[in-house]
Amino acid sequence: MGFINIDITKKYPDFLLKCSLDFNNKINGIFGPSGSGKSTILNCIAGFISPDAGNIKINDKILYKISESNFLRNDNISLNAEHRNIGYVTQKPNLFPSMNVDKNIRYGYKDDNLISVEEIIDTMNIKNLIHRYPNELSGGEAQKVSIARALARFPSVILMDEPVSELDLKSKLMVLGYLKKINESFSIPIIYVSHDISEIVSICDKVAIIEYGQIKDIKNSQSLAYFSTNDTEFENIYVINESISGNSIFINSIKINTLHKVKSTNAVILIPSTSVILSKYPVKHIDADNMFLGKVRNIKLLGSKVRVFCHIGFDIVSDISKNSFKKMNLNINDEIYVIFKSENVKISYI
Amino acid sequence: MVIEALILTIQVSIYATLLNIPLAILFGLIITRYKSKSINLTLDVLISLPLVLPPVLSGYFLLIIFSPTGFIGFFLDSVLGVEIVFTKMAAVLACSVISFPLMARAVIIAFDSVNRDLEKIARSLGAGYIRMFFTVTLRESKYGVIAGILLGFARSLGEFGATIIFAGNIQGISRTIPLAIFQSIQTGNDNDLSLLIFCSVGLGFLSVLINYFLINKSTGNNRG
Repeated sequence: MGFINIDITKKYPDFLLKCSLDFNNKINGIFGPSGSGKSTILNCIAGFISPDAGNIKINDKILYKISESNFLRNDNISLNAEHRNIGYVTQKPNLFPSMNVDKNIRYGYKDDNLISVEEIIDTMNIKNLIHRYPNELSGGEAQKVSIARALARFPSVILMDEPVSELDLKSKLMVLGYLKKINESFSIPIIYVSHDISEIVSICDKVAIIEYGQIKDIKNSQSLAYFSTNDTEFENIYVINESISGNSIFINSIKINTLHKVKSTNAVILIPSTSVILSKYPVKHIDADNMFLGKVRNIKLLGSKVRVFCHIGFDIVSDISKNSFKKMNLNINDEIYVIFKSENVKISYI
Repeated sequence: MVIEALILTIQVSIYATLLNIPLAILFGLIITRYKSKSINLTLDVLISLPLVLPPVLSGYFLLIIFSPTGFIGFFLDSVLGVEIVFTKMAAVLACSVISFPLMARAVIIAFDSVNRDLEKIARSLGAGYIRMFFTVTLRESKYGVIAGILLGFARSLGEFGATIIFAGNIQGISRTIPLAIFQSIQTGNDNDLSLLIFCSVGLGFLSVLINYFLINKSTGNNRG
């Protein structure tokens, strides 16, 4: 039995949501295309939508329990949203416009919380923002405040509905880094909903794949990358808090060269899949300062290209053209050299 | 006569506005937050009717309902011993009915403009419906709501048709500025007339001006 148990049914005239999930206290993902029912699940957990039947339980606290056969039973439970103690972060930051950052964060704060507002402000690194109003914040800053506000209630779980989909790349990486930090520092589980496979792979521990209102599969996030269904670019994202020296950073103890001197040990690294070059043989005299010998773990044919999943001490995805794939005659378990330029290693600090 | 009419007009308009505020908020919340099409349509028609009916007709309906033989008037007269018709209370009710659509419509638009996600987030942060209403819904729509209240007040200042039918034209009881203007024209009292016109235009101008600034504020920076 996991930390979060969800088993619900919700019928709409043209849509049926049937969802059975068992999540742990890490960052759990729900991945699926738009309109597949991801947000409806979050709304049911938060108490904004009432399922037709089923049960929702978080850390042994029953939030919702209605039997389909007899909805008039005495032991039926359906807690109001305000009594569920669930953090909710939406796609847009949705800060209260007429309150400054400090008041936004304190809106749901409980005096008996295990964490103080000051601790949250320090963790999210927003001390310089507390007197500002929402319209004076950038998208990334506002989303950090929105997460801090949810955190201030010390919720039993934080629900996140595509929280970085409207942010620029730098802010997106920064916010993803903070989510990992929150989960590790405060042991608050997160349910993270997205239709972006790169985001899910980078921070989630366990992922439910949903299509047309039905849970198709539950996987660990690394194996999810193989389920790429469209040929949009894949972003290799890594949340780092390992040692750093000069112009290099370590991912799973593998040293990666970077273009600029690295400033902090807490960072999020992004390497776009299209900038990762593959070679069957070592390449000398090449204008790229990161080359690693690894193995091909998996291969997936997508519309106009081939997505190759490699392992070089950490997992990395490369998108290559169909022509290159044919010429290289790549197979699973082949040895492969993975090459990328230091200037393609994008870093965002937490 | 002018000062008396001015004080009475302001008094009647304030009472009518105070009477309308809770109703406009209630109707506004039901129409914008309750998802029943049939209930919303019924309320919408009810709110709009006084706006499209001739005020004289609204006054006539009030007269029928509140006269001692009418269904509310009978109850008030026989049980409580209260008579409404041709009293100051009648002038208040007439102003209230005529100005209600303007206030309610502005409140509906103001409530409708509040981002529903803010309300959801407030609830997830532990706010019950009442705290959510005061700290989010009302707070984020305050300028629109105040503009609506002011618009209703301004409409009450100029109310004539329903008042003369339902409350009569009795000096000190129901002769508000519009009725006093009517009286002065009828009797050819030009001295009072120009003073009354000045008061009427002045009050109306002030209300519309404040309303304009509030609407500008509600559509611009919403902070504060």
